[in-house]
Amino acid sequence: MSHQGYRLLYWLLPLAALALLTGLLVGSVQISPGEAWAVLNGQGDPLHQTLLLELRLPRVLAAFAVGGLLAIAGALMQLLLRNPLADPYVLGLSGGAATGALLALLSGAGAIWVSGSAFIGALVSTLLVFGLARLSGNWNPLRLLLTGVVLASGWGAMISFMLAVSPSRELPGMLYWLMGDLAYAQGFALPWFTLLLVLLILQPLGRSLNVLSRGSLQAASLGMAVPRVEGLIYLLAALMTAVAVTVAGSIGFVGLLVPHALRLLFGYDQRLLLPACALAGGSLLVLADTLARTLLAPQQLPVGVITALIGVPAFLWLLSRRAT
Amino acid sequence: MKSAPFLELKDLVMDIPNRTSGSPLNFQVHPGECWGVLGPNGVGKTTLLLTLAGLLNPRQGKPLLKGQAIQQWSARARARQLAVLFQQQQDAFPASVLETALTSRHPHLKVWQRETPEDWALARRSLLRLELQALEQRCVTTLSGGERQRLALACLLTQQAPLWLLDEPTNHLDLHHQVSALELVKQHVEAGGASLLAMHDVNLASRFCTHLLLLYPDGSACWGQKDQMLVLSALEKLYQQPLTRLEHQGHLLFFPRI
Amino acid sequence: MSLFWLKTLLLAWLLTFSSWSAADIQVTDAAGRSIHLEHPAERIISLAPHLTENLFTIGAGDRLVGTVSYSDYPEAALDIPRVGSYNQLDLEGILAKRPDLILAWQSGNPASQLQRLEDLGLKIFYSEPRNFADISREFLALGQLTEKNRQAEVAADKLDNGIKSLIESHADKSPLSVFYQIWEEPLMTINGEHLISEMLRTCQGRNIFAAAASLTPRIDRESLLEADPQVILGGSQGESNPKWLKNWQAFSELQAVQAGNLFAVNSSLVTRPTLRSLAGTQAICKHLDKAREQLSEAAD
Repeated sequence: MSHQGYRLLYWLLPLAALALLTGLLVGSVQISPGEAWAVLNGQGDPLHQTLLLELRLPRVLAAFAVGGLLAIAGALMQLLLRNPLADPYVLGLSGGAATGALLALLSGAGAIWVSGSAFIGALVSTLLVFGLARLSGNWNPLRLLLTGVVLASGWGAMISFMLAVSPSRELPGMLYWLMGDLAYAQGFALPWFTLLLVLLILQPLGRSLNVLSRGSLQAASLGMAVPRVEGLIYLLAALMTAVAVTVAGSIGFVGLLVPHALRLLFGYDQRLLLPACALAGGSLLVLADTLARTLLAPQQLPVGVITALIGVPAFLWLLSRRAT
Repeated sequence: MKSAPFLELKDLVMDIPNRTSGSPLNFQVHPGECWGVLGPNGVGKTTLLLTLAGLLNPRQGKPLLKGQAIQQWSARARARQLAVLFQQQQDAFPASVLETALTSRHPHLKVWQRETPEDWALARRSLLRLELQALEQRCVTTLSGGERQRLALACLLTQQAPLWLLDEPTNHLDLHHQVSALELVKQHVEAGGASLLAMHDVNLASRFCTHLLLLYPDGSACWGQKDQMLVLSALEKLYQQPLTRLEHQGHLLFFPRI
Repeated sequence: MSLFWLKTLLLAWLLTFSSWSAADIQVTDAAGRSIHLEHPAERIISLAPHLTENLFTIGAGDRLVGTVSYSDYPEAALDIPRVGSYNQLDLEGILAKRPDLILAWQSGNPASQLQRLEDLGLKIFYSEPRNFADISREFLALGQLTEKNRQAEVAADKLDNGIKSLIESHADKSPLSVFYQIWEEPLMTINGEHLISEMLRTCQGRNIFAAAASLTPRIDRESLLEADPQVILGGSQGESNPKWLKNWQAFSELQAVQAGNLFAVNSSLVTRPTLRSLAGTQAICKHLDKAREQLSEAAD
């Protein structure tokens, strides 16, 4: 089983490469593979150089990293809450980030401030959920989930309030942020750094994570320091989600769908699942973003719309498969 | 001369929320002993096992594992000495039977260490012992109640701990597998291990256990060698139910008198 | 002999002029930034419908190589290739058109995308006309950028004079309280800083919600009933009796309804800061004149 799993994992590598290539070559302006090759050799048309290297490459790289972050965060949340239907936003993280970002947009602040406020909002939300859940003694997945759901509703109310009172001219920008959009992504260094850092930390812990999925009492009886491990998972998932949402807004379905679908292929072994999530999540988001850029070109769609359009039928199909 | 006790209780009082403290428990569990914990529902059998496993804090006193307070043991070292079979199995995730058995090797592996071929072999042997070898690749969520219970027992074997704490190990099992499970425990105990089993069936307990602990509904308790404990009046008081005592082929049987 | 001197003089004259036209163009935009072009813009991209329209007004519409959706006036604008929408730009498309000047809408276009274009070395002129004076200034600035100064001045003068004559002809008219509706569900209007309010002021109309804090506030019907405006105006696509107008008929306690002072104005004449704002103002003035008539009739 394990060897078969690794073989499948290796298939994901060329898939990821193909997705990246597609993202680079496809756009609202046609660039042939020959012209792209010329650019990579340093001899291409300056316009194509700008298009490929300054516009498409950073966006595609950002999309890949964000997709990977969301998928892994989703897998970790599903493990932490012992619930295959959890996603990275279930504990209200994206709500906090959205509130921060919308506040910055409302006050007319620049793009850096919007990202910074989003990140701070996500951290505040994380601490709030953690703190509130611990208020009445030991926290368990159910208490965490309930606290997170309530907090998410609270953020939702604040977001609705801001949307209601903001000048109508600000609304399109705010809505695109809420739907998730890679057009405003400021660079790819931060998400890539976070993604690699987290994978580095989690890969050796993979076997321990597998034990955790048997339940906290069972894991504790097998010698695991359950609160510490769960705390680490929560913090890592929160960090990844915060970075992803800061860069590209609340893109939905990737964090829910990718780990779920991959578990059908790879089983639940976190040592296979987490790197697979990184590769598959990244590929999916790159392809979705490419569609968002080109489906109605020159009209641009936010990538969150595409992930939802793909996500809903895909999820229904997955559910029907599980029933058998 | 008895060998050093695996487990020692000194004036131990369990912590059951909203209930007055019961009488303190004072006994020792030695290698080769199989203790049956008997009592009606809700009396605290599960709480006792979890307290002895170090997963719950007692209200008073401390359980001692091999002479050292259980809280002083590192979790992993403790897990190499003591294995727990819980009443309910939690399986939210569709892991395979073999993968689940493998997770019980956790106390013997470092955090970043992978399972060795020996670990795989051990897990497979445990599944074979519980007649689950044909279900190795099956998803645990598709198992019947009995199969899952046997898997839990296989996990216990894989953990390779000398002291077993089992909470209703015969749940969900048909008669044949009930007997097999208890034979397994008996073999383990005879090989130098020890175990405590919380049970409902006093007759099975009397066949397989060497010692009994009776937990009464009023909080009091008594314990000792099996023969001394199997007294009609004590058992009737325990279960609040008139019983009939029967001797047959050297075995004592108790059944309800209606 | 004199012909020779004439030709020389003419040549010198032409040379002087050509060196003038080779001189740098320097324009200040709505954001206060200085735009510097070495020669008049030849390949322009407009990121807002009003900018497209204004460019056509000064006769430089043929220089447009790309614009955003909803750029529908004049009709020739429909043929210009699209580069996204005003709030979601197609950066690749913009770059591929190799523009030498981009006309941006400061409050409408996404700042981060404009920043990307600037970082890639493109020249951006920010537009943000809030009143008639701004619109005239914009004509002149665009005229300088495209070297259509004469046509730009003509347009600016047409607007300035048109508005001036309207103000003069209405100076003695009795002021009217007006409610201008920009959206029905939810009920939204404009405050005093909006261009439409200036149009109303030109015709001696007083926006009852001029003091509202937000540029396009959402209000409740109660405050409207309390203010009881003499006239209700709203936008339409061209029809004279849009649905929202009919919906107000039910409120017979309003004096505007009693006097029949419910009027529709073609939206594109009043919501875009262009030369057609003059036509829009004229339409509003006509409606307000009619309203005064109907009110004095009702008083009799």
